[in-house]
Amino acid sequence: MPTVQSDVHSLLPALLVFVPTGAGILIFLLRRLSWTREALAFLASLFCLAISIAASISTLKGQCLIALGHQLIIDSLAALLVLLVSAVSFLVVLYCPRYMRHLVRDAAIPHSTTESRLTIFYGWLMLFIATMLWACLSNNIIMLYVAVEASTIASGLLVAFYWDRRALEAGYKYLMLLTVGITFALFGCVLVYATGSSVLGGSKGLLISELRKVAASFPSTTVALASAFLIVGFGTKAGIAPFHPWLPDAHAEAPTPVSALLSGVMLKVAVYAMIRTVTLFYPSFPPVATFVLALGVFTMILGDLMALAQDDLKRMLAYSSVSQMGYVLLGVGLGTSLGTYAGLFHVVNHALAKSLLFLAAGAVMYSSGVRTLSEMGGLAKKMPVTSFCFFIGALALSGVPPLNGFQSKLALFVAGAEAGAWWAVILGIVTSLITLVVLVRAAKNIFWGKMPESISVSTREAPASVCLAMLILAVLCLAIGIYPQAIYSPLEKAAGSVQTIFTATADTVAKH
Amino acid sequence: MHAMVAAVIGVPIAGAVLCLAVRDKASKYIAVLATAVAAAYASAIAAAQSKVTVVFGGLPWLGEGAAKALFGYQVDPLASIMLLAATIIGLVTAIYSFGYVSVGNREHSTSSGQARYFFWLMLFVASMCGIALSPNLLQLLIFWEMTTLCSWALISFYDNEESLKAGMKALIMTSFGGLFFIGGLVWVFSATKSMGFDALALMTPTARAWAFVLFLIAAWAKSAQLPFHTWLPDAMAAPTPISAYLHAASMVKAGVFLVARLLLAGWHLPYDAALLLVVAALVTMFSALYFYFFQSDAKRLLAFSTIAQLGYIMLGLGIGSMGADLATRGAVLHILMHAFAKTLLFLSIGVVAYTQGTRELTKLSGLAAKAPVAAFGFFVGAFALSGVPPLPCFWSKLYMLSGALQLKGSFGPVILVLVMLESLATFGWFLYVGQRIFYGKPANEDPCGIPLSMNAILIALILATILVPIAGIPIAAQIVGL
Repeated sequence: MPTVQSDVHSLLPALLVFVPTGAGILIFLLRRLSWTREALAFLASLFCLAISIAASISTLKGQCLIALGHQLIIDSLAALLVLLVSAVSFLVVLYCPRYMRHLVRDAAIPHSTTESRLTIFYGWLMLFIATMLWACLSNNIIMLYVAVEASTIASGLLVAFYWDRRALEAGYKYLMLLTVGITFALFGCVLVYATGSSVLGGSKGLLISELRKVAASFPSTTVALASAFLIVGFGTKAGIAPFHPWLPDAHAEAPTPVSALLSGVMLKVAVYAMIRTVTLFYPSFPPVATFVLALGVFTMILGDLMALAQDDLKRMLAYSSVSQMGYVLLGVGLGTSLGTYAGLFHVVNHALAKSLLFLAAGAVMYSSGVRTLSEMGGLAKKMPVTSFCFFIGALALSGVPPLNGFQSKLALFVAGAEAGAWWAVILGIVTSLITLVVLVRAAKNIFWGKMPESISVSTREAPASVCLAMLILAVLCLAIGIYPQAIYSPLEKAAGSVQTIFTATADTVAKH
Repeated sequence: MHAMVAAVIGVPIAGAVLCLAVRDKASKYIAVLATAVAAAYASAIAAAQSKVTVVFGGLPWLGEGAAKALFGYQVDPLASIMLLAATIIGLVTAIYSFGYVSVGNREHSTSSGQARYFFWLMLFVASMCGIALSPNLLQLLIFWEMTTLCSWALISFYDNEESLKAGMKALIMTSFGGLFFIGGLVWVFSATKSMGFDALALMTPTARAWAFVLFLIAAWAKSAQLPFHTWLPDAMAAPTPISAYLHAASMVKAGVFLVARLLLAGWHLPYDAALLLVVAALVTMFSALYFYFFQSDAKRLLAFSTIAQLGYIMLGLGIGSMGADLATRGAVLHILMHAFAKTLLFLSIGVVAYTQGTRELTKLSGLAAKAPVAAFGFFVGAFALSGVPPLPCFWSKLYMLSGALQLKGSFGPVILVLVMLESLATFGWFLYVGQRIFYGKPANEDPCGIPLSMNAILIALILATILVPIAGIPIAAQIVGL
């Protein structure tokens, strides 16, 4: 059922991009005033969160916010993503101050002082958040590519933040692989634009909202080529196998708050870009959906099998993200409205649970100084809050009720069964057991059993701000699991604005 | 009814949350209080003898059928039986743990962690009540997975190598079974747009049989039936009161409860599937019996006896689905009867382990003089379990066998003979084991300090075990089969 949306000109979309960008630039300009960094970052992210909430409320009323002459729009799908990005970013910024100061002091990064490193961190962090928000808002297909690429560049320095051999290698790999990968998306976008503009004429062919109306008239070879480019391009950024090899390195080497953002929201932004562009062709060319589905199932299984073999806590979490993105694609690739709903539902749940896991992993590393699973143990007594949060995150992702992951996985499986994709459902159900083994075994290794002697007895619970950020996420995981109806209407509206393979296109309607 | 149902699930959950908030010392009082309230309300629900199904809401994205009728409760005789078992045994466990989970315990001296222990125990009680009251497959699945979590956490409670391993094993094996549950649920829902227990009626007989087999596999894993039985003996690494609760009234009972719920939903199970149920139950019973003779650990022996007794329940349900109502009633009654008998056995062995610091049969002897209550409890439990009249399991087995004899052909007599054989062997072996533990020359002269709370609850439980048929039989008699 296509919902009737009224276009409303608004400042909000532009503010969402400019405020964090401005904050980032200010942080660099005011680098001598060390107290401004954290304050600016906090205020900017709080402001973004407030705007996103306001924007979500307007889209729930059926409005579609547009700015800069249709260049930026917030429809219900964008609103969902923007809300997710700004909420997780806010919590990460809340988590950062104590964590980063402690970390930068210990890391002893060459040729720089603590203060200058912190300026770099917060400055780029704000720019990174701004580019992610921009990618969510862009209605211009070429600028969508630009925004996604910009978020790669903005986070590149964050990934290589520690400036040691491993971090530099990870940062290099991150920039190279993603830039090469995402170039495919540029080919796809240009192809779509070129074909679209011949129908629409001029710059209108740049706007996704316009392209949507004419996508059915594209020749099928163009569609096949363009969607292959788009899927490979944005799929690389989303960590879809076999284009994922950058992901474990980047997630493992980046400072933990950045890992949480990379895994928690950046992957979702990439999937969002893919949903925006690829689903344009669903109604006229359903095999695209099948391709997405197959890729999703492959990713889901491969990611978890790789995660099973990891001994590094953060690498394990990174591979698990790969796997969960596979679940999201499974939903999106079904091409039905329930499938899209379930995919988006899982996007939300994974964003919450995985950020929680990364933040908790960061807290463990902060307090104990260890990141190898086999060298950990017995930390529950020392760090009860972190332990609680990690277990909640692990169980949520494994799809254990009454946590949120259960609800979205159930929706995914039902959607798969109703679409007749039983093979995907069975593999999905089996994979969720592997997820459980991976994550719960890790949680058990870290928090239960005997504490190895290598960990100092004076290990303490993480600072209050760190615990607060984690607890908010844990409570959200639990709350959505117990009362999933609470987020029904935003998700339903968002899913409704995505085309499915059953959406009647203007073309087919005309034929009837 | 709303309030009573809310209390029976809500009070233990509130107790669990409260346990996290207070210190270790206060947690046990909260636990006893919360389970006592739950048990009182459960008894009230059972006494009301009503049959109601109420639904409040659903998951709107799953479509029309699921939008309204997914979450609520269902009260009927089967739910009452399960509720009584879950809450009363929960209360007994909580009171017993009062003394057991303490520094005085010679097997596992425990000085901290009581809050965690009682948190999971409360959550366990609440989840079991949730299972009992679930009006459809989805809600049952949610509580089902919660019991898996609770048992995993409680089996791992001692936090040593052995118990952590056993906990993971239980979690993985029962979650593996859970996959089949989810698979079956998704199948049934996509085929019928309903998650009710009676949705299977809308499927074709072949599809129905296969869907039932999916649920059956889930139930086998949960109820530790062959070939998924191996997690249960390992789960003996749990504290003994937890083992008692796990075996008698929760976790494993959830599996047979699911099968009973499905079979009583008013649809006909194809004969082949019923036969599979019966044969698998018999195989489980006799394999478990075979393992009795090689157990040197008293608790592992009880674990195999649980496996066999759950086989009985499956057997009764299988015979019932072939058309003998009496056997279904017997099976449901056995859920409650076995709960009391098995708890009594476990708690008696728990006293032995508490005072002697070991459960090895070779190291125990002559304890009757030191722990007379435990000795008496063990023998009453053993008699009750093997079906000595007029103790609990006699009645349930009587129902089941009468049911079997109602069937046409030679099937009934064969089952009669097999059940008699199994019961006799159990009787003989338990007498032998009891005699070894409690009679003969004492292994040592150490004095036994048994906490008053443990002895008192044992005495109460012995009385309850003797009297429970009076409460159970009238409820089971109301169960109308297929």
